[in-house]
Amino acid sequence: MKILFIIKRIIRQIVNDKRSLGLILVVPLFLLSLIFLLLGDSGYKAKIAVSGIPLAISDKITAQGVTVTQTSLSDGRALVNNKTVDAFFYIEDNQMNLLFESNDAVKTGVVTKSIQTAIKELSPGSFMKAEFIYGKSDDSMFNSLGYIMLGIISFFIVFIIAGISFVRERTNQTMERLMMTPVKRWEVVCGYTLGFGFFAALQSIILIAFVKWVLKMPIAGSVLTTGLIMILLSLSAVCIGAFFSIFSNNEFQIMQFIPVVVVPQIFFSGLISLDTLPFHLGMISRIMPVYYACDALKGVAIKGEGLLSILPDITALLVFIVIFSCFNTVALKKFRRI
Amino acid sequence: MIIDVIKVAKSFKKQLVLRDINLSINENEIFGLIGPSGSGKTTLIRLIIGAISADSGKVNIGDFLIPDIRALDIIGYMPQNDALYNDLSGYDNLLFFGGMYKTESQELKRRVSEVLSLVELSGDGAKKVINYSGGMKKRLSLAVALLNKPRILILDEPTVGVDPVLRKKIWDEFSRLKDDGTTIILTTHVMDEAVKCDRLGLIYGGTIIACDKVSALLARTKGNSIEELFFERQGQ
Repeated sequence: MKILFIIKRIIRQIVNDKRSLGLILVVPLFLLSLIFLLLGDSGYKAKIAVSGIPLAISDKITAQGVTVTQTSLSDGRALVNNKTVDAFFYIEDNQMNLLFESNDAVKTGVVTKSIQTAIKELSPGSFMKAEFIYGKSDDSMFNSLGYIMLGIISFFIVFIIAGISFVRERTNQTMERLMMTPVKRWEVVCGYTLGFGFFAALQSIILIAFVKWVLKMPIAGSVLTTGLIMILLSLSAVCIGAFFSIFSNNEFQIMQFIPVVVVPQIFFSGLISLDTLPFHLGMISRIMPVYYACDALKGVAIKGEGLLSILPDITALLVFIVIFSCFNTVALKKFRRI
Repeated sequence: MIIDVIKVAKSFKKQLVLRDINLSINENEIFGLIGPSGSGKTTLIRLIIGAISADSGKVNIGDFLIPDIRALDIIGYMPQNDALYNDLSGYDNLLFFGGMYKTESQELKRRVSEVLSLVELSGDGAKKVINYSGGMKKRLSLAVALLNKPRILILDEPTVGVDPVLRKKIWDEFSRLKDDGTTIILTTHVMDEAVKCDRLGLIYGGTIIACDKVSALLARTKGNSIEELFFERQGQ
């Protein structure tokens, strides 16, 4: 199998190049840890104002290290507005309400968690409405950020490594030499995708294990499905990296594609809400693999969805891989017409 | 297998690099393409092997109309720069390129050791290519071209940057390969090397200005030097 020789060669090359190996396997862990520290439960001492909340509940909240101030219904809003407190927790029309100034991931996370814990113990099943003075509520925002970053980091790194490796192969003329052997063009593309795919899979496994057992981020759905999404995203990064290397004559020109190819995908990954964009600009996300992967990751890891409900996302990723592999196979005609 | 280049022309970005090239290279000979840099030697070599296609005209290798993937089975190609994977050992480079031909695993490993010792790199096979000297890279590159026991060996400037001792060794290897029935096409701009070929094609400004046996070409000159044929051309 010629493909097997190509796969083995790429694996050997990366294993021999310790920097690339580190970039693929260690750097994502470092970045993810940083994000975790920035967003995670940092022991932030939250301050809230309450009005009309039973004493039993507010005591439970205080017990979790949150400073609770009693206030009136009319003053509470002002306290939140001038940032004296992080949130205002009140009962109006027999309905529990929680008011934030804006959607700050850490503060809202700490407050919501402590209040939810208190309510769950005392009156399970009761409903609380969260409200923001600025921005809007998105239950999954706090947790989903981590998974979105997981997708972005993985795509970014694999894109760079695969793109640069392909460009080097051209500048070293090893690609021309390779194409002057009786190997078929599709075999080269498959070998490349699978060779890098090996490291992409390894990276995904390590990242997910790290997220689950070291950072202890909750994965609601199947770990296996999460891994599958990550691997498909990395494979699409390989194909797209290889594709853009066609238009690059050196390593720096690959770097020039980062603001064009990678950065917009970060914007449209779900990090920023797309529903509010005018002129259906949110639809741009539909041509971006990172969007589908992050959507699927959120679905599985946070909402606990099964393979079936993320099938559209998986299909979209597969379509990206197939289309770009075909592009790449055709692009190799540059080296050999047949 | 006879190689026929028939009325080939090629231009890059509207600049004519080769025009009306006609060549016939016989089986079992060492054919040298000689000419100054920029004369179109490499372009012609790449056209013959099928790495690029001609604007007009055609190339036949035996029964194959180039480009033909089947022809690549019997061709060994050594590009001008070394075209090796620097992160891999010499041995792994050979193993990889060897794997691109139909080769069974045991047989492939045997062949890899064989070509390694042929270019006297047996002791350095485990070293990464990045640590090789220029001459070692050149030898390894030649070894890659020999992997599939090619019937036609196409070499682009095989001895540039190679010291005289090694150059002699490489040429000894060429004669040995020729004796085994291999056709060798090589480019060079070193005149004393050119005279070791059986036949020469003189290429200048994108055309073949002369193509004959070395002795016949020398007979045309006054001072017994191939260079004169180029100077004549330049004078015109």
